[in-house]
Amino acid sequence: MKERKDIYWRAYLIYFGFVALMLLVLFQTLSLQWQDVAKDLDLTEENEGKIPTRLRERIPRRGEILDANRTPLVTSVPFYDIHMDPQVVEEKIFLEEISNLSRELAKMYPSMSAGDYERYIRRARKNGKRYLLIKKRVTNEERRKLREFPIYNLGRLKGGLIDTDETIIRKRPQGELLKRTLGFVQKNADGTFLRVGIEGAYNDYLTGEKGEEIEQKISTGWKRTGQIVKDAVEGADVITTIDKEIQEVAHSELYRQLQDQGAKHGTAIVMEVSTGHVKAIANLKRGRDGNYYESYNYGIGTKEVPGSTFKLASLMAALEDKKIHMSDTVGAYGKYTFYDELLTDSKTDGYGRITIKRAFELSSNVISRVIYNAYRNEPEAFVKRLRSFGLGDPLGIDLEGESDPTLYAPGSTNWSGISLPWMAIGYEVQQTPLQTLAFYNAVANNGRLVRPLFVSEIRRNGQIVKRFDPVTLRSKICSNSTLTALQRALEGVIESGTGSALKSAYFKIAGKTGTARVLNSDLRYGNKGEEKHQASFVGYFPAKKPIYSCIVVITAPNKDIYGASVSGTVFSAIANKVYASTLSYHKAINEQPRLKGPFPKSMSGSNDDLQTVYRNLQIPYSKKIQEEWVNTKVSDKGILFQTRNIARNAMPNVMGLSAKDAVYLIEKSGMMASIKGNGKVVAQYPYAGSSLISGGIAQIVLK
Amino acid sequence: MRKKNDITQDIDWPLLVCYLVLVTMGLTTVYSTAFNSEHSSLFDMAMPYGKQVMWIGVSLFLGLLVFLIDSSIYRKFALPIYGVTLALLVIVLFMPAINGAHAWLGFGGFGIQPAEFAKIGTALLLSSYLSTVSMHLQTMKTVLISNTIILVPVVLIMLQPDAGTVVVFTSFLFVLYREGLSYDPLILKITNAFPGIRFKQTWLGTHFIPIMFYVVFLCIVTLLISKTTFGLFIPGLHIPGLVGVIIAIAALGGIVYWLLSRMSSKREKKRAFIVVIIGFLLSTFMSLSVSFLFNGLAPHQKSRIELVLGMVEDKDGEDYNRFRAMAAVGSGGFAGKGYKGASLSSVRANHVPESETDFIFSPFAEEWGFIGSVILIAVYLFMLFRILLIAERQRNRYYRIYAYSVGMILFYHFAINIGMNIGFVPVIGIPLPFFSYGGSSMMSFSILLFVLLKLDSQRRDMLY
Repeated sequence: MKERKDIYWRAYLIYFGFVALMLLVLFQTLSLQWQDVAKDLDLTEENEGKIPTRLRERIPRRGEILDANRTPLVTSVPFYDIHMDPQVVEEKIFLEEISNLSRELAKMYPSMSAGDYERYIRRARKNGKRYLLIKKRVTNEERRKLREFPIYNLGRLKGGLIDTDETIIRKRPQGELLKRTLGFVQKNADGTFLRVGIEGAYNDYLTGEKGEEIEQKISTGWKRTGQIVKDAVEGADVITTIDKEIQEVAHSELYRQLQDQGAKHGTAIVMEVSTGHVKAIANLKRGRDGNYYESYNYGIGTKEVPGSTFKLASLMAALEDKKIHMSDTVGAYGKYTFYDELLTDSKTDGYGRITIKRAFELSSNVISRVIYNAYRNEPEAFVKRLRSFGLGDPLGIDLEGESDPTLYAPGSTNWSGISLPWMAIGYEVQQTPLQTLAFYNAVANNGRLVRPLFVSEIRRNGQIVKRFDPVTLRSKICSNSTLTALQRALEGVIESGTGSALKSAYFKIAGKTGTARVLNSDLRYGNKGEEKHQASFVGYFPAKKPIYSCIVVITAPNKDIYGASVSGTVFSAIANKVYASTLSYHKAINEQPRLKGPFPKSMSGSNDDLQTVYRNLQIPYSKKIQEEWVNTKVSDKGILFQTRNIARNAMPNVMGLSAKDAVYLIEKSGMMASIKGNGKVVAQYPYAGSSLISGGIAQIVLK
Repeated sequence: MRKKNDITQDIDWPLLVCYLVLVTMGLTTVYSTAFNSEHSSLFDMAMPYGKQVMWIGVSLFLGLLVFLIDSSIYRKFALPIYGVTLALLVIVLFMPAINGAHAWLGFGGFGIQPAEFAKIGTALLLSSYLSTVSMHLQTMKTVLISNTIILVPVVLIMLQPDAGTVVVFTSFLFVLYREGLSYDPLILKITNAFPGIRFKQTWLGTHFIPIMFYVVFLCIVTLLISKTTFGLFIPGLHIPGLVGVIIAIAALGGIVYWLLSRMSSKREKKRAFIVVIIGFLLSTFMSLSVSFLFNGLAPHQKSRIELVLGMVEDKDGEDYNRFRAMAAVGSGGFAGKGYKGASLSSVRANHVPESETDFIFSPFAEEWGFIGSVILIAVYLFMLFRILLIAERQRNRYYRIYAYSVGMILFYHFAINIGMNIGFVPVIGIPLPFFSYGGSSMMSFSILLFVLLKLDSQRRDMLY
């Protein structure tokens, strides 16, 4: 029967398969004894009971960037991934508390019900899971709450809560404010780093040092154990010189003006005169959507012809070289020809015969004639003098990207016959806004040129790691007489010159306007009507006792071109708001110096009471006396407490005490007090030291 | 006269004893592997062995229940039982994933794996179905329905996903083959579409399943060893892997011819010779072309295949478990390290993760050595032969098919699990029947076996 035989045949095949495979298994089991499988595996005694581990880098928290008042400008916000090792919890505790824990979890994260949580954790416990994900990305606040939960409150070793997996996210709480100056660090494709702004310049401090943590092998990869081999060094905090309040004013005022003017971009910088601390630096550029963004640091990165603001430097040079006096008169007739090139004033028929000071106040281009006449035979002396002011060198700020200023030397290929007069009025030279500001700041700072500082301190855990003291680049760029003359001239610009619209009723501003034609993108000045201008205003305030210097530069305004009306308005808005709102002008009452007299008189009385009062009023007093009652005496240094003798078993001396203390003492002695008037005790009867009459009346008069 | 109510009557005692021996060996190994001196009691429910004792108790109780039910019930209710196991497979997909698979169905603190029980349902329904269509094994309808019975749970298990159990389900195909199911209805549809060809039966259709397995096996083996060389115990000799594959094919052909020729007449012998020669040529051609095609693949496709087949040795990654288990098995030596002596694979040393479940063979082989392994393999082999013997003695087709199903499932589990432990097979995570720690597998294998014992004990009923 063929069918039958065929079927048996199949059964045999299966039997054959069984036996063949079993033989193969036996062969391999045997051969494994000769193969040294273990040779590459880490199966040593010491390793026994251990699951393979490896080290993992612990990235420390990156430091914060704070403003001068410790308001965070950039912070690192930590988030935590919460895991649980359900195996370590004791059976009894687990069974008792698991539903409570699940309920709490469901209350906090309602995406899963309490029942779901319970099942989830129970199953993980049963399946030997040791790294069960509970929730990703919880805040530190939530993490603190989780630690209070049932089971979890037993800690990591008994409660199985693993909450050390930290993710750090960089946040800029102030949004667009100061964005470009705060900067960033970005890894390039070739492994180098692009370091921009403060984040870039102080990256090493902010980063801290990496630590190491042990990771354990699990079937799906590696898990962290929380055993830290090397602690990470936290990133240090960078405390900038920026004042967030001033920054906000500068930002919003610049923004508004750029928008009003439809300008291309602009920058506004506020600097503290004496220290060079940059209090605010706003850089805004029009984006495609018409809004303005902090996308390029024009303040430090873009050099441009400064225009009339440079006239200050020209006059300083000529004054220092004693070529001119500010009171010299010149003929400002509106048209000045050098070789075949013509310079004109904005008022085409000129101003007539005026002093050089007046010419400066009116920003007449006759200054070019003045300088040309003074230096035509020795232009190198002019350039040398300018260099002595620090105008030829970069400021050397810590932030990357500062452009070197351009200052041609006579005889170089760039020098021509008209270079000298053009330079005198701020063409043929190039400076960044920050460089121009630093120069004006030196004038406000009595000739001391300081380096602009963006950072004052670096602190780790509150301890100062590094302090950045003001850096003097040149201690005196010119003589006092020159300074005084130029300061008067700068005040005159606001009093009666091109900046007269900026006059403030509350305080005086000193400054200079500047309007320069700048190159188009095709490197040409543009035809009539198509010229692009750069309106600037730079100065300091209050004029008599300068605290802040400030520059505002706006490029390519559409409505108006003049420094005073375009940039000056931003300047005065910043100055007004800074003056009105910053505390440094209006010392708070409690900042009055404490140690100066005269100190308030007081009655004599209870030592404890008086000490309390003086302590709370922060009036210095001598503390040595232990007696219950004291006399007080006003001295230059504070209140002196003196021992007061109160006779025992006799009429007490209550002279100079308050009514309360006097009555207390009299009644304590067994007599009754009769009071007249108020103030301190000026008279008492019976006199101090006389014998007591129990129940008798003691009269005291207060005044 | 036979007593109707004696349920112990006609039980196949050798098989039952074999089951009890394996369960005992498994429990002692779990105890030794997971032994904790603070919880030294075998019945400590905090420890795997305590739980295993409970699972064995539950399994024996279920076995008793199985025996109390008349065998005809299993046949009558095959479809509902299959339906329930499928429903569980669907429900489990909506459970939260554990270790990346939706495989566990939780009941309070306990969980079961429906995939384990799906084997029982499939075995029962397949037996019941095939036994009713015994005369129509060559029809298209039979081929489609019987394959669908297997395919539906396979698809559901793939969704979990659980590759190991999917592989185990292919064991049912051998049951189909043994019963004489022919794939001719499908094959003929293709061949007879060519004009002029009118086959009535093809050799490919009749032996479709072993051929398919042979092809897949050959491809995998070719890929695995075509790149390597080996010396065949002769120093200085380096035979390329591909040549080795061809030598192995030739050797296999020789064995097959020898087996065939012993059972055949002279005329059939000649035909068998031709078949073997053609088979050899086709195999060699296939092996060469697989190797050629693989080398022509793009690198990323290559590395994907290499990853699936475990060709890249990553001793600290993917192959972490496998290599450690191999080292433990090898360290046992000839006589082993003694009971509780496993220094590599015990849970305490923890060099071999999962050593109480899927990798339980490694502590067993470490403690009992090669001798122990031989005994264990002998017991399993005896059990499998006993099941096949039981199968072949059934007069009822239904009983026989079920017995074959049980035998094939156990064989698969055994071969793959031990293969994993000794480094033959990539780690796909299936337990060693009756041996590994775990409730679902202990219960499902016990039910599978007790149903077989019950059916077998009633084999004579058919005569009355």
